[in-house]
Amino acid sequence: MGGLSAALSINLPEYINKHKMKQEEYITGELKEIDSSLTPSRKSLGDALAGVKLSVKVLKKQQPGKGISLIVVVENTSPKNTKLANPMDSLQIIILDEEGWPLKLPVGRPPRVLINTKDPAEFKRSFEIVSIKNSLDEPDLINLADDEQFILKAKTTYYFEIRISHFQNINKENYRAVSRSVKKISKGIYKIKLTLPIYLTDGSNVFRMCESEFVNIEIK
Amino acid sequence: MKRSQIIREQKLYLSYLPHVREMYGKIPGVVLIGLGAKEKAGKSLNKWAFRFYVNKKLSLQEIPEEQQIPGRIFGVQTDVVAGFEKESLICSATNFAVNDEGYRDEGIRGGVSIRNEFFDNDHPSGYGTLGILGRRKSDNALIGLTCSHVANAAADSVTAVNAKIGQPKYWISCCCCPRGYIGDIRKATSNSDLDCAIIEIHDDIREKVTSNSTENRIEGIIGNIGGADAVVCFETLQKYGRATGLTTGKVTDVAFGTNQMLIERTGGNPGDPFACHGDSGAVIVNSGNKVVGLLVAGQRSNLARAIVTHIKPVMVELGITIAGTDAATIGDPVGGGAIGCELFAWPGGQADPALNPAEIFASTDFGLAGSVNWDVSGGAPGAVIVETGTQTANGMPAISVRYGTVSPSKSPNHAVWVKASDGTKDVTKFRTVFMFVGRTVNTSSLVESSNTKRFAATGGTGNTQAGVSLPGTDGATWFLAKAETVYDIGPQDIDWSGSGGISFETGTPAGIKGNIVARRETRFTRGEQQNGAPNRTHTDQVDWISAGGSTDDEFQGPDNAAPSEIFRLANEGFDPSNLLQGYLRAEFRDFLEFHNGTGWTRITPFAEWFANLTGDLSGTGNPPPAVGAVNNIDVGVNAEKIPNQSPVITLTDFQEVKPGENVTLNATPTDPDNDVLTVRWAQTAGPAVALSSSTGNPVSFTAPANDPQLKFTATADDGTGVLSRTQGNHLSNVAETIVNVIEWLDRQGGNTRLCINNEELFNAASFGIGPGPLNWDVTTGGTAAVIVEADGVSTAPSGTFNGATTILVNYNNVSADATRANSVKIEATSPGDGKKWYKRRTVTAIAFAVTTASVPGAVPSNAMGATVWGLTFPENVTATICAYRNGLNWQAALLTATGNFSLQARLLAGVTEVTGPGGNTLITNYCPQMNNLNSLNGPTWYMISAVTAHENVHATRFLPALNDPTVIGVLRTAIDGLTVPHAAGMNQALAIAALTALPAFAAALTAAQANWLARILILVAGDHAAGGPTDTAEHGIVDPMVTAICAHSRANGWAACPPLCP
Repeated sequence: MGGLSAALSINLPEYINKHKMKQEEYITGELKEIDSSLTPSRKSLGDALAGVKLSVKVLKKQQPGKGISLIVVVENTSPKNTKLANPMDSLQIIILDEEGWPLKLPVGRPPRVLINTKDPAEFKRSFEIVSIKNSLDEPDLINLADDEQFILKAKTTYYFEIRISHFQNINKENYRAVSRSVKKISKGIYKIKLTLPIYLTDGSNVFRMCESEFVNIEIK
Repeated sequence: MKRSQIIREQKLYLSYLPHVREMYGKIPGVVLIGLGAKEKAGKSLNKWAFRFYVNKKLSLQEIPEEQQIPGRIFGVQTDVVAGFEKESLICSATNFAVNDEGYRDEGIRGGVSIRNEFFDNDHPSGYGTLGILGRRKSDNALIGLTCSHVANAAADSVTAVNAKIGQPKYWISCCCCPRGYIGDIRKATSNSDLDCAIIEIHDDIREKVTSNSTENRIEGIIGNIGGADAVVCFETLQKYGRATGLTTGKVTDVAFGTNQMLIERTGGNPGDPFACHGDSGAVIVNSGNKVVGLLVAGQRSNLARAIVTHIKPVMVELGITIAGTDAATIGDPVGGGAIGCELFAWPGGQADPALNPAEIFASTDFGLAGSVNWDVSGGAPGAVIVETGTQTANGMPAISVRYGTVSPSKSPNHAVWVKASDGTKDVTKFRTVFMFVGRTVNTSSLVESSNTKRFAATGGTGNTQAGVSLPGTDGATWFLAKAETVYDIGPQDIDWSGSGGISFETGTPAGIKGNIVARRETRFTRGEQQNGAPNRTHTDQVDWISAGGSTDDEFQGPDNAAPSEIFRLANEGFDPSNLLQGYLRAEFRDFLEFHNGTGWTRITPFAEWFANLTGDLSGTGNPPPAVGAVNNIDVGVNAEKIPNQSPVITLTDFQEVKPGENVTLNATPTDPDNDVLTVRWAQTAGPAVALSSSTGNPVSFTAPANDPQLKFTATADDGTGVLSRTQGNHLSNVAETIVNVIEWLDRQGGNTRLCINNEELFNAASFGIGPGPLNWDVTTGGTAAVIVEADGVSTAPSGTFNGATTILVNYNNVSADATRANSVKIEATSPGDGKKWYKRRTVTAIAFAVTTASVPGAVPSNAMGATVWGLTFPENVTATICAYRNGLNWQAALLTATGNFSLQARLLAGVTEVTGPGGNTLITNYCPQMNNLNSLNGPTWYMISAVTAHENVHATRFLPALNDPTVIGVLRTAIDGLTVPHAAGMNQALAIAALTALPAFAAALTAAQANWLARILILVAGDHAAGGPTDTAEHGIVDPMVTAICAHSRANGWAACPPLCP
């Protein structure tokens, strides 16, 4: 299993450069498999996902009034294409305020696998996918954002740019509550952590549970 | 010397006389012992002496020592008078006559000549003297007093009566007329004591006596006779007789024989007789003109000395009065006549009054009758009348006297006087109080020159040291114990010679009053251990065995070497053949018994002695000691009994048990003598427990509750309690063992998150070592624990805490095993006195896993879209925690995690629930119903339960998802890492409140929810696959309904509905 640093060393500078991003302004972190030692069975099952590496890149200083932007980097280091469930369907974003209280993202639609419908499910995420790009420099792949499955081309890195602009409007101590009222993200220092399960859709039950460390960001 | 003094001493010395005669009267050559005047150079002095009359005087060299007459007896001088031979004083032819006148016409009287009818007129002999006239008491007849040998001179018998008596002689005239007749003999007595007779005076003569008033006259003596009286020694007397007329003399012996006295002439020329032939029958008159005696004889070789019978026994014998005096009025002593010998010594003087036998006196023993007055205060002190406890008592016919003080000597002055008085007569007896003091002869005494007085290994018949024969043949080795008890007598001047005194019986006691017998009682303790025998055997003779009377061999009277000692011997032994070890203790107690006339009574304390003998013979290969050699045997009165070595007992010092446990106490007793040992147990501390037995080994009991400390002692007894030479060494040391009954329970713990572990509160009261704060330590056992709370206040976990009344112990370590050594020891120490107590716990690993649950019912956060049949969604995760001190902080530990999910199911708008046959299934719709159901998606007919079944498939993924380490593991890590600082007064509840209020706690739960959802997404990914789990679940619901509808349609003859119901 490769690391985010390896991916960045190959691809991320290229992306940043292409997007005129200053590397020192980003915080990067690898999404590591959660406690892989506790799930040894997955190693043997995970060949198909062995070449998939995840990382996150967050601007230290977010743009004022535009919420929180971050980039989820999915790299397929395998020489084969890999079809997996849409990572954005299962992405979990945990944001803590300066005091460490969790902030809830607005209520969206649940992941499609949980919806019992015979029709195409209405899908509304708690965050916005701003763009999807890859290292092949293909045209924006945003049209694939709501697809149920996502094909990672061989030796290709995908960049999912995400923006979080609102939180649920609840008292932070009442973190168990659910509110459809939202509020814009205010200035402040936040911590962001991503949890991203990826899994194949071939019924093989091959998956990986990955998470990042908390990343501190500041919104001025 | 005054007359009164003479009279007192005469009475005293006359009382000694019987005993002097008893003691010395049997000395060869001694004819008579009297009391009277000491003679010196042929002259009688006015000094008292016991007069020993012998036929011939011998020099001291000629007399054996034991036959020598002491110079003094009872403090009175002695005198030896030789060559005394009596001669009756009937007138012989050669004798002269001072007065042979006839007095018949002028009144006969005393002192005149008489002669009986057996003589011719002219015969020159046969004369005597009429002593005095008197009255016969029986008929007041006038009688004349003379000697029997006078009255019956020449008669066939001197005691014959009725012979005629004449004055101055009886004779027949030529005309055959009797002449001189005055009367007839009416009574005549002649024996060794008396020689007297009375003549009944004829009436004619009596008339002359009366008319001439001569009844109380004696010729030649001035004045009338005034009566009769007892004689007083050294007194000057007079008599008037036919031969010598009026002569004077002095009493030189008031106890010459039984009833006689001896008078020696005074005045006149030397050699002049006091009386001579023809004077017999004359009476002796004292200076008071009272008759004191009847002249009966004189000394053949010296007629200046005359033998006179005391008048009192004469008057008693003849039954007469003289000058109106009755014999009964004449006091004692009358003449020293013996009244029977009696013991003059009696045992007494012992400190223990019981050893002083009482002597019984009756008034009759004193010649008195009936009740008399008694006095034992005279003479030496210490006598007590038993009946009254005093020294005087009145009006008692008999008394018992106990003598409390031994007489310093046999002197009469050191004797006890026992006096009886009837008011007119005093009679005194004298008792020298003697006492024996025993002493045991030990090895140093040389009572026998041939006896070493040692225990000795003696051989066979060669041993004759003790005068006893030993069993075994010559050369056999036996051990002999031998010792003597010697009795010293006090006073030491009591004589032992054969002349009289105390009589000691030897051999079989005769049981005569005054006898003394020596006795010995014995008991033996013998112990032997033969070679090869495991134990020593005892023969313990507990009771004293009384010996019979002492034998001649055993009891020896005093001899010249030890004149005041008696002694006896004893022996005992055992055969050491094949003897490994052996011992013998012979105990003896010797004593003397005295026969008080009724029975034997002990008069000495027990003279106790013993002999110990030990042998260590064939077992060691050492030969027996040689004959006569001093060996390892001791003799004495102060040594111990048997040789014995104390047993030894050991106990385990300490043991710890649980309440209710059966506890065994096991001692290890040993004994160097191989004695059979008895182990005795005693509980000395703690609540009483019921030992299985107070003796024996081992013993057991059931440990009580409540953690007491019990103490027990064990002692071994080798059974030689009364035998051991060293008092008390039959017992071993006292060994003590302590049994701590310690609460010992099982607990669970070992988790580093302390609040997971069992915790337990301990308080001082449950430790019973004193109220108030204690010092606690939970680290001294094999497994340590920590104290997390003291007196209700949280503390940083620590192994010790001082000064708390209560503590809360957290078992944070697991015992390696269930042994006591690896238990947790909760130990408390009282700071005041250092007392400790403790309890134990065995800690096993506590089984802990975070409890998880997936619980439906949460409020849905997502509304279902218009085309959504159902939605099951993990809404949130809740958790419970505990908290524990970790240094200065409280740290959280996750206890439970609950995944709360919402489950929504519905029929879409326009879809009707199929209720089946009997419901809404009709001939008109049954086929669409079946087809809609089978297609699982309506669009008209469906079943809500099928939708729910679909959602339940998802729900079944939720708990496994929650339990996935990626969920619960991450959550636990996050929760368990939470801490809050400890603050004063903070306890676990407050700590939990603080911890769950942390943003991080909320963040952890939020993350858990996210992770849970992520994991669910993976698990449910395949649920919706065609023919997958949700389809199967829905078919599980709808298929039976389809089947039922089909069956119903067929039953009702409805048309087929292919392919579901062809």
